[in-house]
Amino acid sequence: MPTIRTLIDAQAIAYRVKSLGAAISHAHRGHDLVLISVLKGSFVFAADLVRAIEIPIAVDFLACQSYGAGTETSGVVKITHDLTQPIEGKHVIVVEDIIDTGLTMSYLLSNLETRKPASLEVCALLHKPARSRVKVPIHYLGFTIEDVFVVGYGLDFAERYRNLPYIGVLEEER
Amino acid sequence: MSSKRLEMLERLIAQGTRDPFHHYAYALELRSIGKSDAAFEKLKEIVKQFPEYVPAYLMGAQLAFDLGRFDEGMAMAQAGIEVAERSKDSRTVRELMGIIDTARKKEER
Repeated sequence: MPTIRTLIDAQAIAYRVKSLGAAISHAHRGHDLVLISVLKGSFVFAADLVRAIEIPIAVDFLACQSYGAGTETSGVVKITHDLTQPIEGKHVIVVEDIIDTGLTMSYLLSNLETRKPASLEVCALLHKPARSRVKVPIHYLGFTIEDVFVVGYGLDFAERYRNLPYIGVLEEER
Repeated sequence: MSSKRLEMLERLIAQGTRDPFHHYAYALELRSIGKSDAAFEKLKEIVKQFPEYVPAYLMGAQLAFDLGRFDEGMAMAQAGIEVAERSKDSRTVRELMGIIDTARKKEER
């Protein structure tokens, strides 16, 4: 039975999300801004982030499935739920829960780039540089973490733990 | 695992990180390994170094009350309320008031 050790508590998340919202509001004042939440992992983060942004924004969702063995992604990605509105000429921020290998985000950025947005940026709650395989620009970042398996605040393990208000590390009970 | 993280955070702090979260996470790790007094001392340092970082007041107040250091908990919570009010962070104000309320009831028993 695994136990969960708190890695980033709810207060630290709230503080950082507020700062990210302020930075986005400052950078995009006057822009036609669209936030794209990548499902399912970023839904909690995106929900808090949009409420920390003080300028008008539109929100859309994208779901994708990456193919690979076990927990290793291959970089081959299939979009299982696409955007509902065109993004041409709009300023777009892709909101992701975690960037580790960077392969999925790299694919998504290439795909979205073909739709001719005015600008395309990435906002990630977590970055795990130890697992990075391709370099992805992260314009707004919550936290850099070590190479551990994290759950909570939208991140799951076998669809569980998404509802935890904090980010924790799954550890085997001794 | 936890000691590895502690070491990483110690290294970042020694390198002079200006990210208050690194300091805060260090205090969180100290608490998780049972070094609550050291965690509280670290949180007191954080609020001096990064006075706008509200999570440190919340955790600091809670920890002080848990350690039975009522007056220090009250001082930390009240300082946190002032900072949170200035930044219009009503959620943190409510949480700190809740912590004070719980601690007062416990103290009266």
